[in-house]
Amino acid sequence: MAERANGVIVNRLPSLTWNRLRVNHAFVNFDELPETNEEAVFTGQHEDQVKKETMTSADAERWADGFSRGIRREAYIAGKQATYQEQHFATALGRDFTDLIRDLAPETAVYTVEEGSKLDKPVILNWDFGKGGRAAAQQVIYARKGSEATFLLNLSSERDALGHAAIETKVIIEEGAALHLMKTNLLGRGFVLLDDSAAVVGDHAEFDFVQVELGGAKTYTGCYADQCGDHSLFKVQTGYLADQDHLMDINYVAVQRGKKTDSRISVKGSLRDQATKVFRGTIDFRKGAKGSVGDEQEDVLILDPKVTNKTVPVVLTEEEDVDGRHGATLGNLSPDILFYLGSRGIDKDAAEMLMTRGRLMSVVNLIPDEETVARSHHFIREAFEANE
Amino acid sequence: MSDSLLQVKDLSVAIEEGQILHDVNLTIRPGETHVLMGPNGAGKSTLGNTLMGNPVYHVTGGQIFFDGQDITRETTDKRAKAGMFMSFQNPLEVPGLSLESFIRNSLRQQTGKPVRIMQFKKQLEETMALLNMDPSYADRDLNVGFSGGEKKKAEILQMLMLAPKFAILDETDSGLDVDAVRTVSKGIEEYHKRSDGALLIITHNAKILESLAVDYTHVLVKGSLVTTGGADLVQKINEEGFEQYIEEAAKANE
Ligand SMILES: Nc1ncnc2c1ncn2[C@@H]1O[C@H](COP(=O)(O)OP(=O)(O)O)[C@@H](O)[C@H]1O
Ligand SMILES: [Mg+2]
Repeated sequence: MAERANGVIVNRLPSLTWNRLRVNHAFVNFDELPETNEEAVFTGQHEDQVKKETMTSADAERWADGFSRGIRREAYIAGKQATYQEQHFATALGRDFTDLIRDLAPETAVYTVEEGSKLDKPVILNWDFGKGGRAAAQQVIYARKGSEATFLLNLSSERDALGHAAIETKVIIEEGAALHLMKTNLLGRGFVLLDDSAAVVGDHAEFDFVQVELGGAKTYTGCYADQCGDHSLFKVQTGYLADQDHLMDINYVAVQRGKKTDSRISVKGSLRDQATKVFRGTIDFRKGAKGSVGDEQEDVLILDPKVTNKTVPVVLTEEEDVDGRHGATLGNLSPDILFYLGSRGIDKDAAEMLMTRGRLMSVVNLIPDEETVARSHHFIREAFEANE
Repeated sequence: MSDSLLQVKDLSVAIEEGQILHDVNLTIRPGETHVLMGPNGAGKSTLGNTLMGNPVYHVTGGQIFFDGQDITRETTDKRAKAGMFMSFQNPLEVPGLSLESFIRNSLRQQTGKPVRIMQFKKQLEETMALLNMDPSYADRDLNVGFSGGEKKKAEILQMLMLAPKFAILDETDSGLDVDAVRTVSKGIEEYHKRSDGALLIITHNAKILESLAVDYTHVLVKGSLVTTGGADLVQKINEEGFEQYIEEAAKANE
């Protein structure tokens, strides 16, 4: 259906139960990408703590596929209509995007965290787009048995900059390892971002995913965790801010196959002006996931009646002995609350900033890098000041 | 006149549904303690809200001067920045904003300067102790799941931390047990002592006034101030009720 236009379908919902909301997927139109010839400047910090190799993206993909034992040929989908695509290493944005980025980024950086090693500092990968530009980058992070590491990926530019970025991060987490993957988007108001994360999570392994989405005009992002390991944990903590006519399109999927797996998805955000947010959150318990639990919670602050807020929580179960939950909190700043805050000297703009910051900083503060925290803090403040 | 902190001149106030206050006149000088009494529905909260600038209440006549400025049309936050405060009759629950963050940001907005964190935390801790508040309340979402008493203490905590020139206390004591009333009353006394702040205390209860030197007592009936007296008027009303004033108001309206 998309072949007519020049673009890709991303962020497919793994079940077609919510057709009426028209959010079964998102379409990224290439004709709408901002024109730019500048390349973003990449810098890495603390990369020497891990082994870094470069492979062709095709090789890296084949290599990573070898780790994703249970994922090939999604023929059978949890009693619902199957829309998972065939993908060896399943991702949230999906196959079209994987095909696209393989062409855009001919090389993939492969990071290996050696068995049992615990990194002191986060490995920080920065893409600075300055006055505008583009980037396409793929990484594979291989956390070997019993290791623990934090990877922080920062995208930033000047405030009025435009450009586009395509990022894909695949993560392999072996038995007993813990990987903290953190991504921040502090891009300018004219950016289109496609940012995919996907993981295979082994026995007693932990995938901790933190996402801070503050900038950009259109953001398509997602995270897919294949919890094939028993007792594996997938934890998502996201904070976003969408304003003006911007789009925030999110797709999180937890596929829980192992016994006693645990997924916890928490998404907090603030919408103002005419912004649109689409959040798809799927918890998919597969046969054999006995004793598994999953929980997705959303907390949205609506600061303007003209925003569009779409949420599709899905819990799929093939297994009886599981517990899947979802919940949502919708907040707004009523005239009563504005008067209350006003009576303490806090005006409407300050109130909106304060309430947004409260939600977002609880996520931002999870990042173990002071500079990133400070920049995020500053970005939130500026977003409210510049908007007046 | 120029030594007045708050001056309300012929103030009339309406909401969509109709007129509530009629030609109210009131003058409060720095450091004075005024008590406002009146039957339920007389318009006491309306007066407090109007002084604070709640947009629900429309000033249909008269003026409000604060600290020499005409603030009749001023926004609520500007009034707060000028040194006005109100302890709400029903403090709102605000999920996603902690009590501590609320106070810190209020201070920041009012002073226009960053708050010095260590000093602030210390003062907050001490003030919470004074009010017998468990320190854990600082991190909790504002008023969410607070008991009635804790909500009122949190209001007094804000007053002490913000040290306004003038505070309106709207039934801060109602619904509280004896201990909580005593604690709140201690807080008010402390505010008065520390900042020589002026007070307009809306209450039905003489207990909260025990440790305060009341300068004036006003009685509001059906939107009109019908009488003003000294501290002894509180006692008189507690014994005799409002009947006499209600009758007078009815006669005056004939
Ligand atoms: N926001 C409002 N909406 C509707 N009616 C109101 C509102 N505020 C006050 N009133 C009405 O105005 C009158 C005075 O109310 P209020 O000021 O709360 O009285 P008091 O505080 O003396 O008990 C009452 O009849 C009340 O019902
Ligand atoms: Mg009242």
